[in-house]
Amino acid sequence: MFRPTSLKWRLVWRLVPLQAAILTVFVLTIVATMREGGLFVDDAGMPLTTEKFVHGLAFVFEMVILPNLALLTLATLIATPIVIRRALASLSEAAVQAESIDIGQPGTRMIVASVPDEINPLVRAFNDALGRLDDGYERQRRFLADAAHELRTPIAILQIRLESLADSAERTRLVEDGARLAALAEQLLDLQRLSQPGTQRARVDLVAIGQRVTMDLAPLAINAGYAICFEPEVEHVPALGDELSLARAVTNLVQNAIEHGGRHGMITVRVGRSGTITVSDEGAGVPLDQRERIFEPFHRLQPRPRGAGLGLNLVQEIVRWHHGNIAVADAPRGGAAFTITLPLALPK
Amino acid sequence: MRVLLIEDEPEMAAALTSAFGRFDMLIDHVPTLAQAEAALASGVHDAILLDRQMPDGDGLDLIPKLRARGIGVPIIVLTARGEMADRVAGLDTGADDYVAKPFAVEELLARLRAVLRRPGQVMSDTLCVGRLSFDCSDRTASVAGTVLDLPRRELLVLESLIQRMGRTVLRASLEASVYGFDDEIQSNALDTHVSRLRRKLMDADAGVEIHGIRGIGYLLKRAPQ
Repeated sequence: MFRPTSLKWRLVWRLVPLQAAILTVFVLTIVATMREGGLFVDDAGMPLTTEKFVHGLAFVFEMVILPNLALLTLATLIATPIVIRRALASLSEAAVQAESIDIGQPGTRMIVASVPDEINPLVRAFNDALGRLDDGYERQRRFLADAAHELRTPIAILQIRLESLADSAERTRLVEDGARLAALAEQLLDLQRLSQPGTQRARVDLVAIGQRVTMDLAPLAINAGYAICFEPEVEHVPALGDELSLARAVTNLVQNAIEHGGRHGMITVRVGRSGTITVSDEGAGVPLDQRERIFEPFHRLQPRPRGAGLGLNLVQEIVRWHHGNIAVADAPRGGAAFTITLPLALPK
Repeated sequence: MRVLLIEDEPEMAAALTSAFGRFDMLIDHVPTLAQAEAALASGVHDAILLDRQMPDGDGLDLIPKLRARGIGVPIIVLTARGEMADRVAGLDTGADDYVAKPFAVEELLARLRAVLRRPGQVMSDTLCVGRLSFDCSDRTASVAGTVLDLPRRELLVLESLIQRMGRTVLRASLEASVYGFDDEIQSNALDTHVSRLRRKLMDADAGVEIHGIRGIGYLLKRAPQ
Protein backbone atom coordinates (compact mmCIF):
# COMPACT_ATOMS: atom_id res chain seq x y z
CA MET A 1 0.00 0.00 0.00
CA PHE A 2 2.98 2.33 0.43
CA ARG A 3 4.00 2.32 -3.22
CA PRO A 4 6.49 5.07 -4.11
CA THR A 5 3.90 6.74 -6.38
CA SER A 6 1.22 6.83 -3.71
CA LEU A 7 0.28 9.99 -1.90
CA LYS A 8 0.78 8.23 1.48
CA TRP A 9 4.38 7.34 0.70
CA ARG A 10 5.15 10.86 -0.43
CA LEU A 11 3.63 12.34 2.72
CA VAL A 12 5.38 9.93 5.12
CA TRP A 13 8.66 10.39 3.28
CA ARG A 14 8.50 14.14 3.86
CA LEU A 15 6.84 14.18 7.32
CA VAL A 16 9.15 11.79 9.19
CA PRO A 17 12.49 13.63 8.57
CA LEU A 18 10.70 16.91 9.27
CA GLN A 19 9.40 15.58 12.58
CA ALA A 20 12.87 14.22 13.44
CA ALA A 21 14.47 17.59 12.80
CA ILE A 22 11.86 19.49 14.81
CA LEU A 23 12.10 17.08 17.74
CA THR A 24 15.89 17.22 17.80
CA VAL A 25 16.00 21.01 17.65
CA PHE A 26 13.32 21.20 20.35
CA VAL A 27 15.12 18.91 22.83
CA LEU A 28 18.53 20.41 22.17
CA THR A 29 17.16 23.93 22.72
CA ILE A 30 15.75 22.91 26.09
CA VAL A 31 18.99 21.24 27.14
CA ALA A 32 21.12 24.21 26.03
CA THR A 33 18.87 26.63 27.92
CA MET A 34 19.12 24.52 31.04
CA ARG A 35 22.94 24.55 30.82
CA GLU A 36 23.01 28.34 30.39
CA GLY A 37 20.86 28.60 33.55
CA GLY A 38 23.55 26.58 35.37
CA LEU A 39 21.21 23.74 36.06
CA PHE A 40 23.84 21.13 35.15
CA VAL A 41 26.51 20.61 37.94
CA ASP A 42 28.73 17.66 38.86
CA ASP A 43 28.83 15.87 42.20
CA ALA A 44 31.11 18.61 43.56
CA GLY A 45 28.66 21.36 42.58
CA MET A 46 30.93 22.60 39.75
CA PRO A 47 29.60 23.34 36.22
CA LEU A 48 30.00 20.38 33.86
CA THR A 49 33.00 20.10 31.60
CA THR A 50 32.19 20.18 27.87
CA GLU A 51 33.32 16.60 27.58
CA LYS A 52 30.86 15.44 30.25
CA PHE A 53 28.10 17.61 28.79
CA VAL A 54 28.48 16.03 25.30
CA HIS A 55 28.43 12.65 26.95
CA GLY A 56 25.19 13.66 28.66
CA LEU A 57 23.73 14.85 25.37
CA ALA A 58 24.32 11.44 23.80
CA PHE A 59 22.45 9.98 26.75
CA VAL A 60 19.51 12.39 26.19
CA PHE A 61 19.48 11.54 22.47
CA GLU A 62 19.35 7.85 23.19
CA MET A 63 16.79 7.96 25.99
CA VAL A 64 14.48 10.80 24.85
CA ILE A 65 14.81 11.71 21.21
CA LEU A 66 15.10 8.24 19.64
CA PRO A 67 12.12 6.66 21.44
CA ASN A 68 9.98 9.72 20.71
CA LEU A 69 11.05 9.68 17.10
CA ALA A 70 10.09 6.03 16.82
CA LEU A 71 6.72 6.82 18.34
CA LEU A 72 6.18 9.76 15.96
CA THR A 73 7.11 7.66 12.92
CA LEU A 74 4.70 4.95 13.96
CA ALA A 75 1.93 7.50 14.52
CA THR A 76 2.59 9.06 11.13
CA LEU A 77 2.53 5.70 9.40
CA ILE A 78 -0.82 4.92 10.96
CA ALA A 79 -2.42 8.34 10.71
CA THR A 80 -1.40 9.31 7.17
CA PRO A 81 -3.44 6.66 5.30
CA ILE A 82 -6.47 7.47 7.44
CA VAL A 83 -6.17 11.21 6.84
CA ILE A 84 -5.66 10.74 3.14
CA ARG A 85 -8.48 8.25 2.80
CA ARG A 86 -10.86 10.68 4.53
CA ALA A 87 -9.69 13.59 2.42
CA LEU A 88 -10.12 11.70 -0.82
CA ALA A 89 -13.41 10.03 0.06
CA SER A 90 -15.28 12.69 -1.87
CA LEU A 91 -13.28 11.75 -4.97
CA SER A 92 -14.88 8.32 -5.17
CA GLU A 93 -18.20 10.11 -5.65
CA ALA A 94 -16.64 11.96 -8.57
CA ALA A 95 -15.35 8.65 -9.89
CA VAL A 96 -18.89 7.26 -9.93
CA GLN A 97 -19.95 10.29 -11.98
CA ALA A 98 -17.05 9.72 -14.32
CA GLU A 99 -18.18 6.12 -14.78
CA SER A 100 -21.47 7.34 -16.21
CA ILE A 101 -19.79 9.48 -18.87
CA ASP A 102 -20.61 7.91 -22.21
CA ILE A 103 -20.76 8.90 -25.85
CA GLY A 104 -24.52 8.32 -25.83
CA GLN A 105 -25.02 10.90 -23.07
CA PRO A 106 -23.28 14.10 -24.00
CA GLY A 107 -23.37 16.91 -21.46
CA THR A 108 -22.45 14.74 -18.44
CA ARG A 109 -20.01 16.54 -16.11
CA MET A 110 -18.33 15.81 -12.77
CA ILE A 111 -19.68 17.87 -9.86
CA VAL A 112 -17.03 20.23 -8.46
CA ALA A 113 -18.69 20.99 -5.09
CA SER A 114 -17.89 17.68 -3.39
CA VAL A 115 -14.22 17.63 -4.34
CA PRO A 116 -11.43 19.05 -2.04
CA ASP A 117 -10.34 22.53 -3.11
CA GLU A 118 -6.86 21.34 -4.05
CA ILE A 119 -8.27 18.90 -6.60
CA ASN A 120 -10.83 21.34 -7.99
CA PRO A 121 -8.57 22.65 -10.78
CA LEU A 122 -8.12 19.10 -12.07
CA VAL A 123 -11.85 18.41 -12.10
CA ARG A 124 -12.55 21.74 -13.76
CA ALA A 125 -9.93 21.10 -16.42
CA PHE A 126 -11.37 17.63 -16.95
CA ASN A 127 -14.88 19.07 -17.31
CA ASP A 128 -13.60 21.63 -19.82
CA ALA A 129 -11.98 18.82 -21.80
CA LEU A 130 -15.29 16.93 -21.74
CA GLY A 131 -17.00 20.03 -23.07
CA ARG A 132 -14.56 20.23 -25.97
CA LEU A 133 -15.09 16.52 -26.73
CA ASP A 134 -18.87 16.98 -26.66
CA ASP A 135 -18.60 19.85 -29.10
CA GLY A 136 -16.35 17.88 -31.39
CA TYR A 137 -18.62 14.85 -31.26
CA GLU A 138 -21.69 16.99 -31.96
CA ARG A 139 -19.94 18.59 -34.95
CA GLN A 140 -19.05 15.16 -36.32
CA ARG A 141 -22.56 13.87 -35.73
CA ARG A 142 -24.07 16.83 -37.52
CA PHE A 143 -21.60 16.45 -40.35
CA LEU A 144 -22.54 12.80 -40.82
CA ALA A 145 -26.25 13.63 -40.75
CA ASP A 146 -25.80 16.52 -43.19
CA ALA A 147 -23.65 14.40 -45.48
CA ALA A 148 -26.21 11.56 -45.52
CA HIS A 149 -28.96 14.11 -46.11
CA GLU A 150 -27.07 15.80 -48.91
CA LEU A 151 -26.52 12.41 -50.56
CA ARG A 152 -30.26 11.83 -50.86
CA THR A 153 -30.97 14.16 -53.77
CA PRO A 154 -28.06 13.11 -55.99
CA ILE A 155 -28.86 9.45 -55.25
CA ALA A 156 -32.51 10.03 -56.16
CA ILE A 157 -31.43 11.69 -59.41
CA LEU A 158 -29.01 8.86 -60.11
CA GLN A 159 -31.75 6.29 -59.53
CA ILE A 160 -34.12 8.05 -61.92
CA ARG A 161 -31.41 8.23 -64.59
CA LEU A 162 -30.55 4.55 -64.15
CA GLU A 163 -34.19 3.55 -64.42
CA SER A 164 -34.43 5.50 -67.66
CA LEU A 165 -31.73 3.35 -69.28
CA ALA A 166 -32.79 0.74 -71.81
CA ASP A 167 -33.30 -2.77 -70.44
CA SER A 168 -30.09 -4.72 -70.08
CA ALA A 169 -28.27 -6.88 -67.58
CA GLU A 170 -26.08 -3.87 -66.85
CA ARG A 171 -29.11 -1.71 -66.07
CA THR A 172 -30.42 -4.35 -63.67
CA ARG A 173 -27.11 -4.30 -61.78
CA LEU A 174 -26.91 -0.52 -61.79
CA VAL A 175 -30.47 -0.17 -60.46
CA GLU A 176 -29.56 -2.65 -57.69
CA ASP A 177 -26.47 -0.64 -56.82
CA GLY A 178 -28.49 2.58 -56.79
CA ALA A 179 -31.05 1.01 -54.45
CA ARG A 180 -28.27 -0.16 -52.12
CA LEU A 181 -26.69 3.27 -52.09
CA ALA A 182 -30.05 4.84 -51.27
CA ALA A 183 -30.68 2.32 -48.48
CA LEU A 184 -27.25 2.99 -46.96
CA ALA A 185 -27.79 6.74 -46.91
CA GLU A 186 -31.23 6.25 -45.38
CA GLN A 187 -29.83 3.90 -42.73
CA LEU A 188 -27.17 6.41 -41.76
CA LEU A 189 -29.97 8.94 -41.30
CA ASP A 190 -31.99 6.37 -39.31
CA LEU A 191 -29.09 5.87 -36.92
CA GLN A 192 -28.67 9.61 -36.51
CA ARG A 193 -32.37 9.96 -35.81
CA LEU A 194 -32.42 7.08 -33.33
CA SER A 195 -29.39 8.45 -31.47
CA GLN A 196 -31.30 11.62 -30.64
CA PRO A 197 -32.31 11.55 -26.98
CA GLY A 198 -36.01 10.92 -26.49
CA THR A 199 -36.59 8.77 -29.58
CA GLN A 200 -39.38 6.41 -28.58
CA ARG A 201 -40.20 2.88 -29.58
CA ALA A 202 -43.78 2.44 -30.75
CA ARG A 203 -46.03 -0.52 -31.45
CA VAL A 204 -45.27 -1.95 -34.87
CA ASP A 205 -46.48 -5.02 -36.73
CA LEU A 206 -43.59 -7.12 -38.00
CA VAL A 207 -45.89 -8.85 -40.50
CA ALA A 208 -46.85 -5.50 -42.03
CA ILE A 209 -43.19 -4.48 -42.20
CA GLY A 210 -42.13 -7.77 -43.80
CA GLN A 211 -44.95 -7.59 -46.30
CA ARG A 212 -44.16 -4.05 -47.35
CA VAL A 213 -40.46 -4.71 -47.77
CA THR A 214 -41.09 -7.90 -49.78
CA MET A 215 -43.55 -6.02 -51.95
CA ASP A 216 -41.17 -3.12 -52.55
CA LEU A 217 -38.16 -5.27 -53.32
CA ALA A 218 -39.91 -7.96 -55.39
CA PRO A 219 -39.24 -6.17 -58.71
CA LEU A 220 -35.54 -5.85 -57.87
CA ALA A 221 -35.30 -9.52 -56.83
CA ILE A 222 -37.21 -10.79 -59.86
CA ASN A 223 -35.13 -8.71 -62.26
CA ALA A 224 -32.02 -10.16 -60.67
CA GLY A 225 -33.22 -13.71 -61.43
CA TYR A 226 -34.77 -14.75 -58.10
CA ALA A 227 -38.20 -15.82 -57.04
CA ILE A 228 -39.28 -14.15 -53.82
CA CYS A 229 -41.94 -15.03 -51.28
CA PHE A 230 -43.31 -13.88 -47.95
CA GLU A 231 -44.23 -16.35 -45.20
CA PRO A 232 -45.83 -14.88 -42.08
CA GLU A 233 -46.34 -17.52 -39.39
CA VAL A 234 -49.35 -15.65 -37.98
CA GLU A 235 -51.41 -12.65 -39.10
CA HIS A 236 -49.88 -10.06 -36.79
CA VAL A 237 -46.70 -9.97 -34.73
CA PRO A 238 -46.73 -6.85 -32.54
CA ALA A 239 -43.30 -5.63 -31.46
CA LEU A 240 -41.84 -2.43 -30.05
CA GLY A 241 -39.75 -0.40 -32.42
CA ASP A 242 -39.22 2.34 -34.93
CA GLU A 243 -41.06 1.35 -38.10
CA LEU A 244 -38.99 3.23 -40.68
CA SER A 245 -35.61 2.04 -39.47
CA LEU A 246 -36.82 -1.56 -39.01
CA ALA A 247 -38.21 -1.63 -42.55
CA ARG A 248 -34.87 -0.31 -43.79
CA ALA A 249 -32.96 -2.97 -41.84
CA VAL A 250 -35.08 -5.71 -43.45
CA THR A 251 -34.66 -3.98 -46.83
CA ASN A 252 -30.91 -4.13 -46.32
CA LEU A 253 -31.08 -7.88 -45.60
CA VAL A 254 -33.14 -8.54 -48.74
CA GLN A 255 -30.73 -6.45 -50.81
CA ASN A 256 -27.88 -8.42 -49.27
CA ALA A 257 -29.62 -11.65 -50.32
CA ILE A 258 -30.10 -10.27 -53.84
CA GLU A 259 -26.41 -9.41 -54.03
CA HIS A 260 -24.98 -12.59 -52.53
CA GLY A 261 -27.65 -15.21 -53.20
CA GLY A 262 -26.09 -16.45 -56.41
CA ARG A 263 -28.77 -14.89 -58.65
CA HIS A 264 -30.94 -18.02 -58.63
CA GLY A 265 -33.45 -19.74 -56.39
CA MET A 266 -35.83 -18.33 -53.83
CA ILE A 267 -35.45 -15.42 -51.43
CA THR A 268 -37.79 -15.97 -48.49
CA VAL A 269 -38.91 -13.35 -45.97
CA ARG A 270 -40.38 -15.11 -42.96
CA VAL A 271 -41.97 -13.55 -39.87
CA GLY A 272 -42.17 -15.73 -36.76
CA ARG A 273 -44.67 -15.40 -33.94
CA SER A 274 -41.86 -15.04 -31.41
CA GLY A 275 -40.79 -11.71 -32.90
CA THR A 276 -38.41 -12.81 -35.63
CA ILE A 277 -37.90 -11.68 -39.20
CA THR A 278 -35.77 -14.06 -41.26
CA VAL A 279 -34.43 -13.37 -44.73
CA SER A 280 -32.97 -16.45 -46.43
CA ASP A 281 -31.53 -17.18 -49.84
CA GLU A 282 -30.26 -20.27 -51.67
CA GLY A 283 -26.76 -19.04 -52.39
CA ALA A 284 -23.44 -20.18 -50.96
CA GLY A 285 -24.25 -19.15 -47.39
CA VAL A 286 -21.85 -17.74 -44.83
CA PRO A 287 -19.01 -20.00 -43.54
CA LEU A 288 -19.12 -20.77 -39.80
CA ASP A 289 -15.94 -18.87 -38.93
CA GLN A 290 -17.25 -15.71 -40.62
CA ARG A 291 -20.62 -15.54 -38.91
CA GLU A 292 -19.61 -13.15 -36.17
CA ARG A 293 -17.32 -11.04 -38.26
CA ILE A 294 -19.66 -10.17 -41.10
CA PHE A 295 -21.39 -7.72 -38.77
CA GLU A 296 -18.19 -5.81 -38.16
CA PRO A 297 -17.95 -2.58 -40.12
CA PHE A 298 -16.22 -2.89 -43.49
CA HIS A 299 -15.97 -6.66 -43.33
CA ARG A 300 -16.51 -8.60 -46.55
CA LEU A 301 -16.31 -12.28 -47.33
CA GLN A 302 -14.12 -11.64 -50.31
CA PRO A 303 -12.68 -8.36 -51.42
CA ARG A 304 -14.81 -7.39 -54.38
CA PRO A 305 -15.38 -4.24 -56.34
CA ARG A 306 -19.04 -3.84 -55.43
CA GLY A 307 -21.08 -3.93 -52.27
CA ALA A 308 -20.44 -1.97 -49.12
CA GLY A 309 -18.95 -3.37 -45.95
CA LEU A 310 -21.10 -1.10 -43.84
CA GLY A 311 -24.52 -2.53 -44.62
CA LEU A 312 -24.76 -5.42 -42.15
CA ASN A 313 -23.12 -3.34 -39.46
CA LEU A 314 -25.82 -0.70 -39.87
CA VAL A 315 -28.49 -3.40 -39.60
CA GLN A 316 -26.88 -4.64 -36.39
CA GLU A 317 -26.69 -1.11 -34.96
CA ILE A 318 -30.37 -0.54 -35.67
CA VAL A 319 -31.35 -3.92 -34.20
CA ARG A 320 -29.26 -3.16 -31.09
CA TRP A 321 -31.08 0.12 -30.62
CA HIS A 322 -34.25 -1.99 -30.52
CA HIS A 323 -32.76 -4.26 -27.80
CA GLY A 324 -32.94 -7.09 -30.32
CA ASN A 325 -30.29 -9.22 -31.92
CA ILE A 326 -29.27 -10.46 -35.33
CA ALA A 327 -27.63 -13.73 -36.28
CA VAL A 328 -26.86 -15.63 -39.43
CA ALA A 329 -27.34 -19.38 -39.87
CA ASP A 330 -27.76 -21.91 -42.66
CA ALA A 331 -31.00 -21.67 -44.59
CA PRO A 332 -32.93 -24.95 -45.07
CA ARG A 333 -31.62 -25.23 -48.61
CA GLY A 334 -28.05 -24.24 -47.93
CA GLY A 335 -28.05 -20.48 -48.34
CA ALA A 336 -27.70 -17.81 -45.69
CA ALA A 337 -30.55 -17.11 -43.27
CA PHE A 338 -30.33 -13.81 -41.42
CA THR A 339 -32.66 -13.57 -38.45
CA ILE A 340 -33.55 -10.39 -36.58
CA THR A 341 -35.17 -11.05 -33.20
CA LEU A 342 -37.07 -8.23 -31.53
CA PRO A 343 -38.81 -7.91 -28.18
CA LEU A 344 -42.53 -8.49 -28.56
CA ALA A 345 -44.98 -5.79 -27.56
CA LEU A 346 -47.24 -6.63 -24.66
CA PRO A 347 -50.79 -7.45 -25.69
CA LYS A 348 -53.01 -4.38 -25.53
CA MET B 1 -50.24 13.64 -71.44
CA ARG B 2 -48.73 16.86 -70.20
CA VAL B 3 -47.43 17.21 -66.68
CA LEU B 4 -46.24 20.31 -64.86
CA LEU B 5 -43.19 19.57 -62.74
CA ILE B 6 -42.60 22.08 -59.93
CA GLU B 7 -39.09 21.33 -58.69
CA ASP B 8 -36.19 23.59 -57.78
CA GLU B 9 -33.41 21.04 -58.32
CA PRO B 10 -32.46 21.35 -62.03
CA GLU B 11 -30.70 17.98 -62.14
CA MET B 12 -33.71 16.22 -60.66
CA ALA B 13 -35.99 17.97 -63.16
CA ALA B 14 -33.77 16.98 -66.08
CA ALA B 15 -33.62 13.36 -64.93
CA LEU B 16 -37.40 13.15 -64.47
CA THR B 17 -38.07 14.85 -67.80
CA SER B 18 -35.97 12.35 -69.71
CA ALA B 19 -37.36 9.40 -67.72
CA PHE B 20 -40.96 10.44 -68.42
CA GLY B 21 -40.11 11.08 -72.05
CA ARG B 22 -39.73 7.32 -72.47
CA PHE B 23 -43.38 6.93 -71.56
CA ASP B 24 -44.58 9.58 -74.00
CA MET B 25 -45.25 12.12 -71.31
CA LEU B 26 -44.52 15.75 -71.87
CA ILE B 27 -43.02 17.54 -68.90
CA ASP B 28 -43.05 21.30 -68.37
CA HIS B 29 -40.63 22.26 -65.67
CA VAL B 30 -40.80 25.38 -63.47
CA PRO B 31 -38.29 26.06 -60.68
CA THR B 32 -40.42 28.32 -58.43
CA LEU B 33 -43.95 28.42 -57.04
CA ALA B 34 -44.54 31.84 -58.60
CA GLN B 35 -43.74 30.53 -62.06
CA ALA B 36 -45.93 27.49 -61.37
CA GLU B 37 -48.94 29.72 -60.77
CA ALA B 38 -48.31 31.51 -64.04
CA ALA B 39 -47.82 28.26 -65.97
CA LEU B 40 -51.03 26.75 -64.62
CA ALA B 41 -53.04 29.68 -65.93
CA SER B 42 -52.61 28.19 -69.40
CA GLY B 43 -54.77 25.22 -68.34
CA VAL B 44 -52.99 22.72 -70.57
CA HIS B 45 -51.72 20.36 -67.87
CA ASP B 46 -53.24 17.02 -66.95
CA ALA B 47 -51.36 16.63 -63.69
CA ILE B 48 -48.94 18.40 -61.35
CA LEU B 49 -45.84 16.99 -59.66
CA LEU B 50 -45.08 19.28 -56.77
CA ASP B 51 -41.87 19.37 -54.74
CA ARG B 52 -42.28 20.59 -51.18
CA GLN B 53 -39.05 22.39 -50.49
CA MET B 54 -39.14 25.27 -52.96
CA PRO B 55 -37.01 28.41 -52.81
CA ASP B 56 -40.12 30.61 -52.44
CA GLY B 57 -41.94 28.52 -49.84
CA ASP B 58 -43.49 25.17 -48.96
CA GLY B 59 -45.00 23.58 -52.06
CA LEU B 60 -48.04 22.57 -50.04
CA ASP B 61 -49.09 26.23 -49.73
CA LEU B 62 -49.68 26.33 -53.47
CA ILE B 63 -52.45 23.72 -53.35
CA PRO B 64 -55.20 25.74 -51.60
CA LYS B 65 -54.47 28.68 -53.89
CA LEU B 66 -54.95 26.52 -56.99
CA ARG B 67 -58.09 24.91 -55.65
CA ALA B 68 -59.48 28.38 -54.82
CA ARG B 69 -58.91 29.38 -58.43
CA GLY B 70 -60.92 26.35 -59.53
CA ILE B 71 -57.94 24.40 -60.84
CA GLY B 72 -58.81 20.77 -60.11
CA VAL B 73 -55.82 19.15 -61.80
CA PRO B 74 -54.59 16.16 -59.77
CA ILE B 75 -51.51 16.92 -57.71
CA ILE B 76 -48.85 14.50 -56.53
CA VAL B 77 -46.57 15.89 -53.85
CA LEU B 78 -42.90 14.87 -53.95
CA THR B 79 -41.06 15.20 -50.72
CA ALA B 80 -37.81 14.18 -49.11
CA ARG B 81 -39.54 13.96 -45.78
CA GLY B 82 -40.84 10.45 -45.37
CA GLU B 83 -42.64 10.92 -42.10
CA MET B 84 -46.24 9.94 -41.64
CA ALA B 85 -47.26 13.34 -40.23
CA ASP B 86 -46.09 15.00 -43.41
CA ARG B 87 -48.10 12.57 -45.45
CA VAL B 88 -51.27 13.47 -43.64
CA ALA B 89 -50.47 17.17 -44.00
CA GLY B 90 -50.03 16.61 -47.75
CA LEU B 91 -53.38 14.93 -48.22
CA ASP B 92 -55.24 17.35 -45.94
CA THR B 93 -54.25 20.31 -48.05
CA GLY B 94 -55.90 18.75 -51.07
CA ALA B 95 -53.06 16.87 -52.71
CA ASP B 96 -54.20 13.70 -54.48
CA ASP B 97 -51.22 11.61 -53.56
CA TYR B 98 -47.83 11.76 -52.06
CA VAL B 99 -44.52 10.15 -53.08
CA ALA B 100 -41.50 10.19 -50.78
CA LYS B 101 -38.07 10.76 -52.24
CA PRO B 102 -36.24 8.74 -53.27
CA PHE B 103 -38.87 7.05 -55.41
CA ALA B 104 -38.81 4.70 -58.37
CA VAL B 105 -39.93 6.24 -61.66
CA GLU B 106 -42.31 3.35 -62.18
CA GLU B 107 -43.83 4.02 -58.78
CA LEU B 108 -44.40 7.66 -59.66
CA LEU B 109 -45.88 6.69 -63.03
CA ALA B 110 -48.22 4.22 -61.37
CA ARG B 111 -49.40 6.85 -58.89
CA LEU B 112 -49.84 9.31 -61.73
CA ARG B 113 -51.95 6.85 -63.68
CA ALA B 114 -53.96 6.11 -60.55
CA VAL B 115 -54.87 9.74 -59.84
CA LEU B 116 -55.67 10.34 -63.50
CA ARG B 117 -58.03 7.41 -63.47
CA ARG B 118 -60.10 8.64 -60.57
CA PRO B 119 -63.65 9.75 -61.42
CA GLY B 120 -63.66 13.20 -62.90
CA GLN B 121 -60.23 12.83 -64.43
CA VAL B 122 -59.59 12.08 -68.06
CA MET B 123 -57.25 9.31 -68.98
CA SER B 124 -57.78 7.55 -72.23
CA ASP B 125 -54.34 6.45 -73.16
CA THR B 126 -53.23 2.99 -74.05
CA LEU B 127 -50.71 1.27 -71.85
CA CYS B 128 -47.98 -0.65 -73.63
CA VAL B 129 -45.53 -3.17 -72.28
CA GLY B 130 -43.50 -5.54 -74.42
CA ARG B 131 -45.60 -6.21 -77.50
CA LEU B 132 -48.82 -5.99 -75.48
CA SER B 133 -51.03 -2.94 -75.54
CA PHE B 134 -54.01 -2.40 -73.29
CA ASP B 135 -56.67 0.14 -74.07
CA CYS B 136 -58.05 1.35 -70.76
CA SER B 137 -61.15 3.01 -72.23
CA ASP B 138 -62.74 -0.16 -73.61
CA ARG B 139 -60.55 -2.74 -71.78
CA THR B 140 -59.13 -4.51 -74.77
CA ALA B 141 -55.75 -6.19 -74.88
CA SER B 142 -53.95 -6.69 -78.15
CA VAL B 143 -50.62 -7.99 -79.36
CA ALA B 144 -49.29 -6.49 -82.58
CA GLY B 145 -52.74 -5.31 -83.60
CA THR B 146 -54.53 -8.61 -82.89
CA VAL B 147 -57.08 -8.32 -80.10
CA LEU B 148 -56.78 -11.10 -77.51
CA ASP B 149 -59.92 -12.94 -76.64
CA LEU B 150 -59.89 -12.81 -72.83
CA PRO B 151 -62.75 -13.39 -70.38
CA ARG B 152 -63.82 -10.40 -68.29
CA ARG B 153 -62.05 -11.44 -65.08
CA GLU B 154 -58.78 -12.11 -66.84
CA LEU B 155 -59.05 -8.68 -68.44
CA LEU B 156 -59.63 -7.12 -65.03
CA VAL B 157 -56.57 -8.92 -63.65
CA LEU B 158 -54.53 -7.77 -66.62
CA GLU B 159 -55.75 -4.19 -66.20
CA SER B 160 -54.74 -4.09 -62.54
CA LEU B 161 -51.35 -5.57 -63.26
CA ILE B 162 -50.58 -3.42 -66.28
CA GLN B 163 -51.53 -0.23 -64.45
CA ARG B 164 -48.78 -0.99 -61.98
CA MET B 165 -46.45 -2.67 -64.41
CA GLY B 166 -43.04 -3.45 -63.04
CA ARG B 167 -44.38 -3.17 -59.50
CA THR B 168 -45.97 -5.58 -57.08
CA VAL B 169 -49.77 -5.71 -56.85
CA LEU B 170 -51.09 -7.09 -53.58
CA ARG B 171 -53.31 -10.11 -53.84
CA ALA B 172 -56.04 -8.33 -51.88
CA SER B 173 -56.15 -5.40 -54.27
CA LEU B 174 -56.26 -7.75 -57.29
CA GLU B 175 -59.18 -9.60 -55.71
CA ALA B 176 -60.90 -6.31 -55.00
CA SER B 177 -60.66 -5.26 -58.63
CA VAL B 178 -61.74 -8.62 -60.02
CA TYR B 179 -64.59 -9.54 -57.73
CA GLY B 180 -67.61 -7.54 -56.68
CA PHE B 181 -68.81 -7.34 -53.09
CA ASP B 182 -71.32 -10.11 -53.64
CA ASP B 183 -69.00 -12.53 -55.37
CA GLU B 184 -67.94 -15.50 -53.39
CA ILE B 185 -64.19 -15.79 -53.74
CA GLN B 186 -62.67 -19.20 -53.74
CA SER B 187 -59.21 -19.25 -52.28
CA ASN B 188 -57.40 -20.26 -55.45
CA ALA B 189 -59.72 -18.66 -58.00
CA LEU B 190 -57.42 -15.71 -58.54
CA ASP B 191 -54.46 -17.99 -59.12
CA THR B 192 -56.45 -19.87 -61.74
CA HIS B 193 -57.27 -16.64 -63.59
CA VAL B 194 -53.66 -15.54 -63.46
CA SER B 195 -52.24 -18.82 -64.68
CA ARG B 196 -54.72 -18.91 -67.59
CA LEU B 197 -53.91 -15.31 -68.43
CA ARG B 198 -50.19 -16.04 -68.23
CA ARG B 199 -50.53 -18.96 -70.65
CA LYS B 200 -52.55 -16.91 -73.12
CA LEU B 201 -50.08 -14.06 -73.05
CA MET B 202 -47.25 -16.51 -73.62
CA ASP B 203 -49.07 -18.19 -76.52
CA ALA B 204 -49.69 -14.79 -78.09
CA ASP B 205 -45.97 -13.96 -77.66
CA ALA B 206 -46.91 -10.75 -75.84
CA GLY B 207 -43.40 -10.18 -74.51
CA VAL B 208 -44.55 -9.85 -70.89
CA GLU B 209 -44.11 -12.04 -67.84
CA ILE B 210 -46.38 -12.41 -64.82
CA HIS B 211 -44.48 -13.35 -61.67
CA GLY B 212 -46.19 -14.74 -58.62
CA ILE B 213 -44.88 -13.61 -55.23
CA ARG B 214 -46.16 -16.11 -52.71
CA GLY B 215 -47.65 -14.44 -49.68
CA ILE B 216 -47.81 -11.06 -51.45
CA GLY B 217 -49.38 -11.00 -54.91
CA TYR B 218 -48.33 -10.68 -58.53
CA LEU B 219 -46.14 -8.55 -60.74
CA LEU B 220 -46.24 -7.99 -64.48
CA LYS B 221 -43.10 -6.96 -66.29
CA ARG B 222 -41.64 -6.86 -69.73
CA ALA B 223 -39.90 -10.12 -70.65
CA PRO B 224 -36.15 -9.73 -71.09
CA GLN B 225 -35.27 -9.54 -74.77
